Amino acid sequence: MHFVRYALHPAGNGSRLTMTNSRPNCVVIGVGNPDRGDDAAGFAVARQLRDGIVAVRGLTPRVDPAAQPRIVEHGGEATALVLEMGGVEQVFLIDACVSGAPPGTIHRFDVSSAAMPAFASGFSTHGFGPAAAVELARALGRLPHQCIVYAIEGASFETGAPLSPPVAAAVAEVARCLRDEIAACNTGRPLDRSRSDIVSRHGTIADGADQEGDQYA
Amino acid sequence: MAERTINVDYLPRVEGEGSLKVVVRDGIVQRAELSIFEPPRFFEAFLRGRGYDEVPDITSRICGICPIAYQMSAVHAMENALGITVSGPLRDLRRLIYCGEWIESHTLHIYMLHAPDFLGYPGAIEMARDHGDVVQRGLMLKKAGNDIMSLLGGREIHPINVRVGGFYRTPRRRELTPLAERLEWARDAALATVRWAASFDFPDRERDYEFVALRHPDEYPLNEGRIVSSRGLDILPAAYEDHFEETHVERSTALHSRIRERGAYLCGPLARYSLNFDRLSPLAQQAAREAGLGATCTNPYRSIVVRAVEVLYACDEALRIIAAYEEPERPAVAIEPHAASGFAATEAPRGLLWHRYRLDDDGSVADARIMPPTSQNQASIEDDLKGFVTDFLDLTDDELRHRCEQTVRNYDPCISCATHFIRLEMDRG
Repeated sequence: MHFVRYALHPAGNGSRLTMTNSRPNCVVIGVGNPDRGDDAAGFAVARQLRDGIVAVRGLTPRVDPAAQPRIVEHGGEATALVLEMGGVEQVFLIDACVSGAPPGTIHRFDVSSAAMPAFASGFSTHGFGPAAAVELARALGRLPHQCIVYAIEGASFETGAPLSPPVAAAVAEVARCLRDEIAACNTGRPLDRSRSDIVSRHGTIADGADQEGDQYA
Repeated sequence: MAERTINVDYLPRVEGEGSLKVVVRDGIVQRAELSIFEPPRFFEAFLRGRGYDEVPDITSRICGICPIAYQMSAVHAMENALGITVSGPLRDLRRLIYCGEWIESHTLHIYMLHAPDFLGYPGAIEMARDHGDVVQRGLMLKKAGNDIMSLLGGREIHPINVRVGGFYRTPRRRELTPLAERLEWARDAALATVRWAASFDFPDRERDYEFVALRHPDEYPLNEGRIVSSRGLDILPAAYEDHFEETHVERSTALHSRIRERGAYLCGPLARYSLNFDRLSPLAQQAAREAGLGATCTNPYRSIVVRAVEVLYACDEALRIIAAYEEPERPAVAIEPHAASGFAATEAPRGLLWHRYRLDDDGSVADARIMPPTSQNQASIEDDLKGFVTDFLDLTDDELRHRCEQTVRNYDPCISCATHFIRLEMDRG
């Protein structure tokens, strides 16, 4: 699919589809493989966010484009990810995971000061991947001030398969959560994560203070 | 009977999944077995029926670290079959993108996978806490290689711009200028990498390998050359199957490869370097000598230094190509498919990568055969372990396990390519 929609994109920085004229200190990185079923979840979130930003730019000029994050689609190789995270204050990493939770479950971790939980350190199909990138960046003193990981529980990673329905629903939800998080950050208001619309669609959000992270199940 | 067993159930810091078992009886290493338990990947089978022009992009999917090697062996084999010669700037650009792959692949192995063995860290993350500036240099050096692959290949992993006959699009001169600026820095960083790697402590172990690599009349080998060995082999790639054979070993889903007349051999950086030292650039030769290397190197633990020398050479060569680059009139040579057979070998970062294809009249693949370097090196890896472990038996099991892992990592094995990689099981009886 990427051959059709995103052929011959500009290359550079180990990433694809980097937004220009964007907020320089915030980056959203969708990690995965667009051709492996639910491993495309990170890319799908990045594309929904990007499409949303394009729409916002066209229709609601009161929104400042410079307040939007840089959006990156990334294959997940750790050394390139470390460089992608360099020099920013806030990074959101989105990837698929396999922890045994029901497909479509959304895990949210604040790894700014705590390591990624063990079950998530091997998530998705990458070996030396996002979890290693976070810890390598931390060891090098390059980890952004705020580093949030969204991991979406996958159901199927078959070659060429589309997103499974529960993961497709979770992708939309994560994109919405990210818009909220970024908007809250732009306005300086704390994010109210007990919002009823999230609760009604995806259940109760667990307390994010512990190492298990939040689960939007 | 004194017995000792060491198991590595899953060998870390290698590409792919496999295991290692070493059995010792009365102070003698009886068996050293590298098991590769990844399922076969059947690439050769599902290439059948696909168009000749699809093969470079399909085979590049065999490996995320060395996709260019697969693309290059594929396009050269197809061109060999169809009677096409690619020369001039197109040939130079192929060499340039291959330099990019050597830089990124070797640098990843040197800094992230192998250096922690020599400096006493469990991994690159722990090493980065004490050697942040060095690791940062490694990341940037690797990125310089990725930048070449992105510019010429359209993207750095599984590039999409290589085709039989040339490229889909060739770069303008002005696009290469910023790349050259980064490569100037990278060449300095590569020189620093050679000096850094040369400062490590190396076990004093030598092996009498039969080295196998390409050799070209004028160049350090990347894309072309005759297949030569340190024991007199000197053949065209088309004659490969007359001299090399594959056998199935039950413990491995990757076939073992041997020279018919003599047995195990070694391909990869040590072989390339030892058979082609005189083809390195003056800067790379000088750095190698300053690093304590001779014109040949038979200590596999020093392969990390040889890789660093090859990174330096690749930066040097990339800069030479960019400086001389003239934009080609067309991005590719025209192709007329017909029934034919073709052969090619190129030098993947891990060693010789041989392809053979038989095409039908319409250019579809009737038969394909691919010989990845890690598959070819399996027997040498086991021989290294058998030869070296006897000298290390006074180590504790943990220390010995680590030394065995380090010994395997000398090869930068790519199990994903060979089929896919490692667990050490040490049986001391």
